Amino acid sequence: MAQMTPAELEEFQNLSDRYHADLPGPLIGEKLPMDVLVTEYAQADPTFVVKTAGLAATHSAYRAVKGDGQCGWRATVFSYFELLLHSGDPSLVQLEKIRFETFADTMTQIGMDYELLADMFDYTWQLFDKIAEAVQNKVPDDSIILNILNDENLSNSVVYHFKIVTSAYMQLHADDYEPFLEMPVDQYRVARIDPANQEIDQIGLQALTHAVISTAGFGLEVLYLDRSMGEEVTPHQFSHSTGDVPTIRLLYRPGHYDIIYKDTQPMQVFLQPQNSTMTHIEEPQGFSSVHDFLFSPATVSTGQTSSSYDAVFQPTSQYMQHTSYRNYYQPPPPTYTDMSWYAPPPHQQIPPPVSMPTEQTLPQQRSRPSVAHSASSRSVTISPPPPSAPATANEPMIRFSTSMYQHDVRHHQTAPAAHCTGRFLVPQTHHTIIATWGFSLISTGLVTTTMVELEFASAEPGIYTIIYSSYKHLLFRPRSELND
Amino acid sequence: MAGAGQKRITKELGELTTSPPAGVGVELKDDNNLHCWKVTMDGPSGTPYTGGKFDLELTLPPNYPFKPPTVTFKTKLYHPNVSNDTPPNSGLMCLGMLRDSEWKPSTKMSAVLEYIRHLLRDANAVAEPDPDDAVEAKIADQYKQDRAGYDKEAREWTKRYALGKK
Repeated sequence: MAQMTPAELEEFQNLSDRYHADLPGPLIGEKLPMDVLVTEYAQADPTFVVKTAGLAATHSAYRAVKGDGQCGWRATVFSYFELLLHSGDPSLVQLEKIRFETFADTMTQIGMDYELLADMFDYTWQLFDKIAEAVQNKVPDDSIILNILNDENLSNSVVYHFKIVTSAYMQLHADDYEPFLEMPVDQYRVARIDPANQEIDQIGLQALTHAVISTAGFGLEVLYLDRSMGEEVTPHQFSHSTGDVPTIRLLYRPGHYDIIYKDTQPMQVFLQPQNSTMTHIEEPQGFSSVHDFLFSPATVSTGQTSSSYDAVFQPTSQYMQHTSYRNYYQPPPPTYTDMSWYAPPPHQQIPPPVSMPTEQTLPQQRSRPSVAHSASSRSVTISPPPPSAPATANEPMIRFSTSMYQHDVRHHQTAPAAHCTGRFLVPQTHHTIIATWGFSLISTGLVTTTMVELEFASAEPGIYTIIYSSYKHLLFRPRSELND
Repeated sequence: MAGAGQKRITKELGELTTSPPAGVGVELKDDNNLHCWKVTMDGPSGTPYTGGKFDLELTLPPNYPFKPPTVTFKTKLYHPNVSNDTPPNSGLMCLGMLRDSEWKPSTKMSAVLEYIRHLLRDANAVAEPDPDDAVEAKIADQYKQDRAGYDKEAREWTKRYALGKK
């Protein structure tokens, strides 16, 4: 093939520069259950399939970000505002806006034409103000952020604001970054940060984290989905603390970033005595260990009537039409005397998995003491790591230990989609067991099982059945009392 | 959506019409369209372009300043960075700073125009014709290897296309 002339090469470069795939969908997508991502990636690289299936066990939801060459920047910017919106702290939002305003000095100091740029920052101020108002009024609706960040020009303005802040910060702290660069910081800024259409790189993300994210008290973690060996995604912490602070999580696959969410919310456990006709599961017989029992085929319920992926995953599925289910997913009142709020209609054997509760409900859940129960039923709210709240003598306490968290992907096994059941024995009051449950995707045939440590501090001895579990909810029911 | 882009364009256009860079004139091609500018540029003295008056068209994309403007010479000229191809490519400039991947929203149009005028300068200028950013490879080669020939040709083109106009 003939060598291309420089002019032809130039033309190709031009065409390539000007080419932008007309990608469908919004810049920032809706928050969706992880399983949708697993299904999407299942059509891609086999390595990704196993790893994303594993992710679904450790993470609860994701947001697709449009791959327009700015996805890393935009994902981080969106997530930052999302954390502010759900912080419930109006003063934090105000403080952050002021901090951004003071960057004007930094920019001027390093020779940027602030007056020229200032017009573009109007949308950032508007967004801060809307978030402040929403937090004040306790109506943290994601659409506040989506409306601005899904409008291309407004979105680019806000993203550019973050770029310029990052750029100014880097220049001011040049000594911190120069050792990691192959060029002086000012050259790097000009080449990689300041241009409107450059994607964020590792150093840029680190600088953005320093300049904005960790100063706001947030963490940032990137999960690298690459073709390396193993079944787990490699995480990389960009901030010192990610475990105990609100954390932005990005999922990176070569060339692209999406947003991913991990559950840091309390797990709810529901216990119910055996007086119900809701499920029909054989009594466990002759299992030699809890582990064997949990992994035995009998522990996977086939009572789930739904075999449709959509019906299971769509928050607006038919299940949600039932008033009783809707009630079921609301946090239980602080005290209650019966479980009628949660009883499913008789024709449904097992409550269906649903979408996660809305974020607004969480503070209530967190602040509520762990236990409420009645003569006919028990409900426990627990938080990982093990809460310090003591259980009283007659209240069951089930503790969830994240340190035991593992997952295991099994092929050639089917189970009802996104539905988990398991039974286990609580032989004595103070007892710790390893519980395993799993979910599968009918579309991929993968079953992901998850192991957690459940500590029964003071549950009544008995055999319990997990009758429902989502990423946030586990529902347990004792099959029988040992002393019966 | 209008927004910041329109404000920015109005601001820049205002500055450029009241205090334009030396040898550069800017006006709207059509009063109803902020995004299309008519630029006139005097050939810098001491260059093969001396005495020439060059018309340029500067187009700002709808998503300016997040996408770069495009600049086209309407008057033919002999220069490594300006295409002398047949229309619609004639007069197209390929400048690194106006590439999508390098474009910075903090770049002002006055800086772009000054840079272009520098490109017309001769050897001792800040930015001479940049053979590495060339669209016209033959002219670029000639600029590097046969400077006298290049000067002569450029002068003739200036005389033929850019002198005695208006």
